[in-house]
Amino acid sequence: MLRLLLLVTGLLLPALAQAGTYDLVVERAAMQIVPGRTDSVIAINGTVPGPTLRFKEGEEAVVRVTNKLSATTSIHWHGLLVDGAYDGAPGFNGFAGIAPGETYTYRIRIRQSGTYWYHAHSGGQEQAGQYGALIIAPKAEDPIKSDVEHVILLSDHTREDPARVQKNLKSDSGYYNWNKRTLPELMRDAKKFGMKATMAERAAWGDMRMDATDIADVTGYALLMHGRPTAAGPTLAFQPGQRVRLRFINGSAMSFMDIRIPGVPMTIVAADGRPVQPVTVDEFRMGVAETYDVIVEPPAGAHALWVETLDRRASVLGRLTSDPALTVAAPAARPKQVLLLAEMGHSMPAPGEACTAEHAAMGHCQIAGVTPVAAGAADPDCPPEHAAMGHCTPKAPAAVKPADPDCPPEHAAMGHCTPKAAGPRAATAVALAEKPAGGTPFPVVDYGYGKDPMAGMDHSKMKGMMNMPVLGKEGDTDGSGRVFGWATGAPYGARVLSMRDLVALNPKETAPPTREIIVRLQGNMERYIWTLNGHKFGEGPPIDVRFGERVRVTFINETMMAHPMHLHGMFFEVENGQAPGLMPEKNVIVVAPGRTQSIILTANEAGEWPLHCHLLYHMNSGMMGKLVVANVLGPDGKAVPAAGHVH
Amino acid sequence: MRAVLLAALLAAPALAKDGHGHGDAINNYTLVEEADITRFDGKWVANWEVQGWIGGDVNKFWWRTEGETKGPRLEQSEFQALYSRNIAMFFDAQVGLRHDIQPDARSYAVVGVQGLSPLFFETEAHAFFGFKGDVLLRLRQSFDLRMTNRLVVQPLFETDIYLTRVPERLIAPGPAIIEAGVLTRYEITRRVAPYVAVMFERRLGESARLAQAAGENPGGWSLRTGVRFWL
Repeated sequence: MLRLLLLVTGLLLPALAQAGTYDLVVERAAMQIVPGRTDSVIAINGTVPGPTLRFKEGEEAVVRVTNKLSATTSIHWHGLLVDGAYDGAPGFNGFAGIAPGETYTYRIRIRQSGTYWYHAHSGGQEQAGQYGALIIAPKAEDPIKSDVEHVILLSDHTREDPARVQKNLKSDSGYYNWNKRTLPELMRDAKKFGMKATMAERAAWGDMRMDATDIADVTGYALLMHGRPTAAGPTLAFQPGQRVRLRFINGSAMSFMDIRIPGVPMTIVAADGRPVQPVTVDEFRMGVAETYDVIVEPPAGAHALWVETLDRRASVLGRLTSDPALTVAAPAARPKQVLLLAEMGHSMPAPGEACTAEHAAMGHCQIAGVTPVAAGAADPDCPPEHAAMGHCTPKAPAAVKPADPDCPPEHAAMGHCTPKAAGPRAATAVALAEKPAGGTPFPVVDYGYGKDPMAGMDHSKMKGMMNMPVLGKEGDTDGSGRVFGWATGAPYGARVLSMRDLVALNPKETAPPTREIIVRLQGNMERYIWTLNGHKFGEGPPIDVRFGERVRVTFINETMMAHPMHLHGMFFEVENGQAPGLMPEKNVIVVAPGRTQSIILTANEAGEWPLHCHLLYHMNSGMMGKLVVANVLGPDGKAVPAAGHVH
Repeated sequence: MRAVLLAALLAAPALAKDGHGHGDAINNYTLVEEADITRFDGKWVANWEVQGWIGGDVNKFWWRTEGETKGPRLEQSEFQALYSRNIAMFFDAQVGLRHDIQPDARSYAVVGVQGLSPLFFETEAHAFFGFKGDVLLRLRQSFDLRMTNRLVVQPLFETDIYLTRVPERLIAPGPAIIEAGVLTRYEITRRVAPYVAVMFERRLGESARLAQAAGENPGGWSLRTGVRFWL
């Protein structure tokens, strides 16, 4: 089977251009990450994060990793197409990890380019500092043009031992939540919404034994921008007039992040290493382990690069400046969220589903026809209905430059070509420029992280969870000023990236999937047990996929937390409402609370691949499965992994 | 000691498994729920209530001890060693042994459940079958009411309901002892929280009359200060 793998790899890689050798030494160190205190970390070559590795497409990278820890370690190449044995996940493809004192040699034929990262895949070592950026230059001309670039590896640093963090969560799942609802808050809610409604809402949460303020499981983090917290003043230099490429990597263990540079629009040009058609945003949300490449053309001066966690309890302020003497200030604080039980049944139409005028008016969607798929005809910020209602004024259509004559929109939509010269589109997530009369204080932002399985149903007639009492609508505030809903926080008028905005830059021929695999994301927050299809890692059967098979994998999130689901070894296409050949390729997909998200996978890499939630403590509590790509059935009728080394 | 060994053997399969570190880890938890010294009835009274476990998500070895000293004398002390198995999302079933040293030495077989009831009520319900023929049920409920994210008011209620007469302990059938009160703690950290408890602990009905007839105090109000902590 190994031979088959080599054969396939050989076909994909006609020639090896060159070889680069890299040495990484993994070691415990005492380091001042946060000025004024010394923490125990795991450093690679003496630094946190480890060195930024720069490979070139076509080379054979040889990486020797030496383990100077007292425990077994590993390095996983996040997003890289590799032979299974070099993927670096212990327990898969015969890889048992790197024992203390040993050196393991990875050999990776680089057959991709873009922004990636690497990190430990053993216990909590990643949290302790064992991660770094991995940048691959394309063999041919880079489709993304820039004058200067910065690698921005974001991470969440704690001085606690990761094993202690896990123990704390197992002992008391609310250990890190210092935002729990209190009795005074209950009284304020009762004043605003009435005692009966408030008590009914609290009772509903109590019946579920869930916490409406459980936004992030772990707090107490110092967010780091390439190893530096705000106090260490992370600085990114540019010259006025330069096109600056920012390579964002969310290398944190547990933190979803909102990213913005007030006053400087950001154009997303790649996601998870793969180029996408440019889309311009004011801010974007990053799931754990995602990467985004962003182009900015900042005016002269200093600009705040503001990164905050979803629960607003950790942040890092960077300085994007053309003058080292200038300083920046953090933007105003945003309200903390409180989850809605009924959020799981919130009627937000999904791609392809009907968008009623009522929803459109609420800013939840846009009437079909104005969705800017390949080349935007209308201003996506201001669909005709809103303009008619006086909510906004449509901007002059940006993309009505003479369309690429080689690539008319019809062809682009069919995935036959990519229109060149089309300017960046604007993000679609926030459609309303300003608050409509009677609207909620904050807009509901459709981040595009999955569709609502209950969309369009009449919730009032449904039993159970969907019938849960709510105090306010998503985007409303409670008696204490918290905003209801997971997908909130951005102000009216902000253009926020939605997963639906991502369109592959390079269209490809695709076939429809031949079967669907359901993966239910489940958990027991109270006992801190997280599972896929009800099984912790190793308890359930692997997901068997034939080599070359094209399958749809549908994630159904039955929990109140967002899970960034990651597949090793392959890219998948995200079913985000774009035409089949234009769906973006990713290796991490966020599934929001209560939502359903499908991906399409062409199983063209043989081996045993981890499929897991990239929240470190979720994975370490069981939220991982094994996806086996093989083409032979054994005598027991079970698939035999193609990469051999079955243990 | 036998009880501890037996329960440890019952829980052994959980401990013997070879781990891969993704959800099969062996964890442990020790909670000192109450540890205080107070003046009652003209004497210093020390009180403890401690429980803990070691095991995986499904199988655990669970232990519990509580007791009281009055002056120099050990008034009451009990130890439980239980095999605890997760049977529902928020509940464990438990079986094992209990051994008391005071007021008199005796042992029981224990069967019960422990977990989190709807509305976040911490629930413990156990039946004790004494080797000398006495049988009792114990129910304990408590609830956290947050004034702030650190100041927690915890109403709690516990009762021992005897199904048999226990003359050595001056116990008559029926609800013999209740303990109810409010424990207010301040979480300096999640793990360390000093508390003040206003508790009412008293014998009821015939069990109270039996105690009074024997010249013992049937109980009453007390104000206790101590520290709750977990490891």
